[in-house]
Amino acid sequence: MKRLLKIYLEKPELAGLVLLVILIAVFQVKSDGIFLGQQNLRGILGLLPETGLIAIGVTLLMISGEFDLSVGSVFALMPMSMAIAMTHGVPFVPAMMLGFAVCLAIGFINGYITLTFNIPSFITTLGMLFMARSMTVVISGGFPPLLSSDIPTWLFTSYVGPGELFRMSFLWFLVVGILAGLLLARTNFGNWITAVGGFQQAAAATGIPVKRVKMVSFMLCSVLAGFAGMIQVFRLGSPLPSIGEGLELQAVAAAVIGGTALTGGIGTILGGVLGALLIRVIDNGLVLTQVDANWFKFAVGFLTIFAVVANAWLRARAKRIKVEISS
Amino acid sequence: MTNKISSIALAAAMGLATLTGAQAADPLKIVFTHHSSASNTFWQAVKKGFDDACARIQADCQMVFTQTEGSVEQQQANMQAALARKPDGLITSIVDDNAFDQTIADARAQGVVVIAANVDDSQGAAGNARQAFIGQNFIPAGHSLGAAIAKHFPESGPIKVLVGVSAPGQNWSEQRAQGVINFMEDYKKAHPDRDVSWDKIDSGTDLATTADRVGAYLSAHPDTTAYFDTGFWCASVARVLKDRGVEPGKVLMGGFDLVPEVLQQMKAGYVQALVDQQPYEQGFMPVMEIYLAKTVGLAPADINTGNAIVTPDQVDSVMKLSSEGLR
Amino acid sequence: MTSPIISCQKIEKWYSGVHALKQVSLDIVPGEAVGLVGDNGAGKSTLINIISGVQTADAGEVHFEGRPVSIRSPRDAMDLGIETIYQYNSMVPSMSIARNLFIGREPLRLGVMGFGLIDLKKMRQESVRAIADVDLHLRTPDALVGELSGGQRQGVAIARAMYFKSKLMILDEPTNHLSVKETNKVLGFVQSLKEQGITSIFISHNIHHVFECCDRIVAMARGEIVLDKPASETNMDEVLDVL
Repeated sequence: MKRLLKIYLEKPELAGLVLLVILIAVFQVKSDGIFLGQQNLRGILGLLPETGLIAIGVTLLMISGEFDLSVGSVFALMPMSMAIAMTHGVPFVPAMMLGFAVCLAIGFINGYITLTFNIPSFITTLGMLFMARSMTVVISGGFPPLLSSDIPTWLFTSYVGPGELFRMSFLWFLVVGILAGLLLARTNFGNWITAVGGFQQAAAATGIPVKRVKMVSFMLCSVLAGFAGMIQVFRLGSPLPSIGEGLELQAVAAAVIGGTALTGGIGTILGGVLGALLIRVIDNGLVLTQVDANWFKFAVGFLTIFAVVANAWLRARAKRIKVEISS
Repeated sequence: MTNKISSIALAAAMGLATLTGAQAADPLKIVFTHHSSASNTFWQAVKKGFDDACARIQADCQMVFTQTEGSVEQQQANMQAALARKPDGLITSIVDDNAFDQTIADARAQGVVVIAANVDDSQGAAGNARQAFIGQNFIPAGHSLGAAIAKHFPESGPIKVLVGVSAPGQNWSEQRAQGVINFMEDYKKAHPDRDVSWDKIDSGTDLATTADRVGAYLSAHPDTTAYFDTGFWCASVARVLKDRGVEPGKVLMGGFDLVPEVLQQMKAGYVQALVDQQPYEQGFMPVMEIYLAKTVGLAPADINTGNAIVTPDQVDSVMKLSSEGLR
Repeated sequence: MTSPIISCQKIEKWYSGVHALKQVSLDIVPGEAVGLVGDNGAGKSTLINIISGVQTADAGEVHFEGRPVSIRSPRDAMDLGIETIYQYNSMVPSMSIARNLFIGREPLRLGVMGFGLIDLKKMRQESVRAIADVDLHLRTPDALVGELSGGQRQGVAIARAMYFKSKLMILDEPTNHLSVKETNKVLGFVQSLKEQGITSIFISHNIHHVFECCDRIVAMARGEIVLDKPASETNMDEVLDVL
């Protein structure tokens, strides 16, 4: 038991993994084996990058000790800006850069207001949630602009791999996930993110540029949300102004289910991804097993509470076990 | 013409069903996906038609609602998950011209019978691989509604009309609004001596939002002659008018769909005309067409479920049927 | 008279109307062990914060090793060789000992413009060495600091300060929240600093401890220095009187 708790402390996402395996087994049985069938897996893996990328960004930011509730709106705003730019004749790549620039700007504003005026990021980004959503609808003029057919969306949507199991978006997702994981665990900046979230005073006292670390985290979070939205829009073919509504809460839930602490300093990218996968599995599994789909929200909410309580309890237990010393 | 086909098809289906009823080898698997959440009462009537038809042919049926009202990406995810169960037939609304094209094409390739219900691709069969459309033709319906309300226009004075587009960007709402506006343009041309004008706003897809937004507009423009909603949410506007002490009929109102809330307001005199699209039929007929396609190979055919206008003198009889979910 | 390693001249600081430091001047020569005492609000924490870069003075100058310096951030202080052990021991509990030791100045395996991949292997090896140097033996540098006792955490903090070759070490109430045994260890360590030629400023509420470790006593009250004498020339009663 002690050893398990020790492992848990170092790798909090393992609890999420256990839950995932259990749920997959349950759904596989209840859906008469369809759940893990090729067609269904294709579906799940095709949709996962979109919520997964947001979860990665939100996880990173939460580890630094801040929240971003505007991700659902940025999810819609980035592709909308890109599409509007393209209807005005801007070519594909510059339009995409413009979209990302919008994300960076929003992340910057989120960070700047939070840090300069010392407001909880929860509030700042809540306001931004409304503002960005409104901007998305306004610039669309009420009608989603058409995406021209000659843009290389295949870069993100076509199926590749053995049995055509994955979309290109999954590969992008994998790359981003690996880079983000490396950033957090293997770079000095990642060390600083964890420190700032874990104990801000200590981080400041040891010379870490706290404000800069948080600003970068805010901006990264927004960029990832925008990237995710862009992928969804390419997949669906229309930049609708209403996509992404409610995703911010799902992203926070995913991060938390994957072991990220609400107070900061604890969490991993893998955990956030596992949380997103778990939510996707539940959504899909409920449809397959013909359970009333309205239980989905209940399931996600229950799981979030359960995960937070369980993680807190496990952490408290693990802390009480002191490491052995010879002194 | 289409109505005749529909009655023949219905008779044939009923006949076949009773003949072969108890002998159904493998029950047909039919899935219905659409863009609405469980809080939209219109769809309860559709579900009743769907469930009744399925009971008659003893099929294994599932209707999947979305979490967020009007969410295209959730509907697409549901559709993909449902298709993994390898159903015999898929019935779906197509509120976006692009988002479902690929998934439906894949379904057809797998031999699934696909029928569009309630909302069609704006380019019909040219825009999507669905085999038939069963539902209301929106533009003519909007036009008819315009005509029905115009009968109540005042003899003299300026005519100021507000059109509430409930879901900007979605086919059904845009086209119904367009139908109304087409009528207003015709009316203007026919009455060059009158001052005719109209406004369009994004009125929302729930009672509270529509009440808020249209209420605000009416405060700013108290001389509005008539309000057209592209759904049934004018029911909440009626309440707002009542609260303000405006007598019924002072501001004319017209809408779509015969849900109990709006029928009540018609009885109270606030709503002068409603367009019925016969939701029960939209749930019932596609099932029968799938049955016929799978048993005798009859190609599915379009059915216009009508743009019949319901006026206050018919309310009582209609209300009874509406509360039973039959209209 | 050897030139001072650090010289604070006429330092002033205001906090929302309160005059926290009034023209405070303090010179410390290399190798001195200075004990800084005073009640809460006397200004000793403020003075220390200014020297370690956590706060900036409103007026006055600081000279280090004979040169005027501008200490605007903790990084500036650390670059000069000023290391601080804080009361709350400035360790991040959710991170490992190795990561905490090098926090803010991680050795990079490859990097550009101050950003890059950290050399975890080196961090681990050096941590073990650094901790052994202060006579603290921990099984693995990957253990989370949160798993250590208060005294062990202070030990790691001290190991950190030592590893980076501090010239001036400031210990701000380092024995708060420690057990008797751990306190003695820390005190012994402070005494050993002098032997290693490291200048130190030791702040404590406990006058006994201060007299035990330091050879010069500086007492502050209401933002000013009210006593500044070698330990041999004064005693506890005198110090308590002025506070």
